[in-house]
Amino acid sequence: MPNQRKTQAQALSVNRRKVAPHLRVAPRSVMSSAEQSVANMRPRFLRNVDFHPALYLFIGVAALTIVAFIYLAQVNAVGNTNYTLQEAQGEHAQLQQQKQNLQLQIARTQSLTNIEKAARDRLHMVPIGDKYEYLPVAPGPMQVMQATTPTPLAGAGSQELGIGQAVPAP
Amino acid sequence: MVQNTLNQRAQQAARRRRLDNWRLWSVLAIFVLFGLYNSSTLFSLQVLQYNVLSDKAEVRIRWKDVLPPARGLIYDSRGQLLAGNTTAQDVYVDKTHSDDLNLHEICDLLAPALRQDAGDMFSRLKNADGTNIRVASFIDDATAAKIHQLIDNHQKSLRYKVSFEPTPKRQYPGDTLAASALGFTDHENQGHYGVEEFYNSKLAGKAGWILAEHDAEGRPLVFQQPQMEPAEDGSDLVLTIDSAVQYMAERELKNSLEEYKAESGYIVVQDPNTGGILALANTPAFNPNDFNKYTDYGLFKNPVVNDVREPGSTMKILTYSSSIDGGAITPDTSFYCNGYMTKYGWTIWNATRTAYGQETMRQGLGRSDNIASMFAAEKLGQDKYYDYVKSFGIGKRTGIDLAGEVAGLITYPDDENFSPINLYTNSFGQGVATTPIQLLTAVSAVANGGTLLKPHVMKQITKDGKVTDTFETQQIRRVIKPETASQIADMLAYGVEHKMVARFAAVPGYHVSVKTGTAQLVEDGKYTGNGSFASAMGFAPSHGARFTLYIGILNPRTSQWGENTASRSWGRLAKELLMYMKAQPTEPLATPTP
Repeated sequence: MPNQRKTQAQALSVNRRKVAPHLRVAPRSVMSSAEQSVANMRPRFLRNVDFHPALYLFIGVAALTIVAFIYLAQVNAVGNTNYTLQEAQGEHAQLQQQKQNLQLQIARTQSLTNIEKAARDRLHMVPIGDKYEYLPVAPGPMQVMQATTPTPLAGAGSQELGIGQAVPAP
Repeated sequence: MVQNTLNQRAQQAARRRRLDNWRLWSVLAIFVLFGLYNSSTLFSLQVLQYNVLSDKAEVRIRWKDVLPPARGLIYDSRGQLLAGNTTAQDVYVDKTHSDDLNLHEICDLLAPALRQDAGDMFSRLKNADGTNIRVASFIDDATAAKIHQLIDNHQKSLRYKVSFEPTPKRQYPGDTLAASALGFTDHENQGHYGVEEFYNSKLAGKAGWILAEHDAEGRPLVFQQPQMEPAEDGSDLVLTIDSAVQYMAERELKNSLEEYKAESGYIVVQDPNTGGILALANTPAFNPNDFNKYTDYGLFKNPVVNDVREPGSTMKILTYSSSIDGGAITPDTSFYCNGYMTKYGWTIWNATRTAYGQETMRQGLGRSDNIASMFAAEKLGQDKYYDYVKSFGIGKRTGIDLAGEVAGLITYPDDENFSPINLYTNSFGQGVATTPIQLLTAVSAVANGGTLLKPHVMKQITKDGKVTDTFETQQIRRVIKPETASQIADMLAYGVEHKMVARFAAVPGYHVSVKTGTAQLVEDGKYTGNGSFASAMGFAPSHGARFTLYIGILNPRTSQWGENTASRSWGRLAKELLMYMKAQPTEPLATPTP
């Protein structure tokens, strides 16, 4: 009997190698006791899987490859992000520059030299010279408010004077 | 037979195996040798030559880039931008893999567009160390566009050879507006003259740097943590200068110089209640945007703080203030003017050699009588007079925040070369030289009721929109009593309103206090006898002054006198300023004619 069992096991082993050299699925009934004790230590879903040493090598290489790819992907992503960031920084700098140029343009446009030139050339305005007149005006609400806090200059009576404002009827 | 055949086959198989083994061994040997060669080469490169090669590689891919800071902006008191930043372009030529012929071709194309000589450019390129050589700096947009066009048209010669590098550039949108107060900034971000120099440390910021590996296009890579220090932008400056007042002052100065056919001049407007400078105009002026095109560096100087000049009769404001405050005279003190006074062997005359007869001090000041001011100073006494003059800050820097202020020239009694005659000449503004800012600050003390204030141009310093520093009004000392200041204001207004020398400075509707001055020109310590320095100094309104205004005109040709030149300009500008400041008239005005 023992010889017969040994012959059966050898035959099975040969068959397993022929069928699947790296992965063998063996019915529990034909496992040796040692194999069964090892199988019992594995998780339930792996109990029927028999690992060939080459499989470990394959898994190792695959894992290494995956790690290498992940690393490369990360480096690539960092590199790309760097370029994206630099592009964004460039755009930011450009916008800042544009803003500065616009500020300068506003300042040039608002300059009194420019305004006077426009007034003379485009609107055909002329200097007022001595032709302006001070006209007495009745105190308005703001002036009444101001009158509550007298200033050293408020010595001209209660009437304030303005330029070009309406003259109240006497 | 069979055995023989079997033996032969066995021998043949053995031979074949041997042959196969030999081939295998040969291939193996080749691989091993190749592997050994590779390994030894790698060992040599990566271990033996590691230091040399890694240094070489680092030089090519790892370098330090400077991160330029943004220079702080300068605004006027109304928030108007006076100095801003823009970007100009530097042009570089990469001479790698270029022989002389290529370089000549590049220079022939680029030089005319950059307004340079092709031969010079070639020599510079040829002799320069390095590969990427700067051939032009701060080119304007039009030139940059021209070069871009050239690159497009001559791609074979110029593409990948010519590149641009943006570089920050200072811009002054007002061109000459307040140029002497602002100064300028050079291409190295260093301020020169004016506030640009005085506040350079605040405005310039701090350059940063980044040390990193770079890709083929020179962009920094971040696979390693780059070593860097970020740039720190400069602070912004808000000035007390009001661009509207500045504009009015510059316009008036330009018109005045044309009207009086004068050589040069300046106008300074100060707020006597804070010491803040509202306007500082000089003509001829320079355009700080084109600072590198000027060959006469004297144009960059600001005569208001960098030059001294005899003040002439405007000094009498200080003389009368001192004498009245010291109790030596009153506005009504009377004396007899016979047109001259002889002291220590010197006979000193009135400017017009006129004998005014009996007159009060009020009239003496109004007529700008030299003899009256000598009388006032003499009554006060030498020591007291100079104590007052010193107290007014004459002969000492005011401490204004503008670059290059000088102290002025005056000899005090304790100086070695002091002569007693100085008391008399100094009393009407001769033998003493002040900076305009010194005299203005002293008169502002009279205008504000007697307190000498430190003049200043900076109002605030801001960083990222937050105020980091504010100039608080600094009282230096009380010089005269408020009553004295009030009396002087009235005495000066009397001269204006009673058709005396400062009559042209009158502003309808307002009391204004003005004194004119005419000084002889000094060269190498001697009076030249040719030309004059005409000036008008005063404040308005006389009581509760809103501004102190000083106008100086050098060499007016239409009239040498301040009363006919600077005084008129003073009146015109004061009228505009009072209107701009919405100062209410205090005197009745002429009824409008229908």
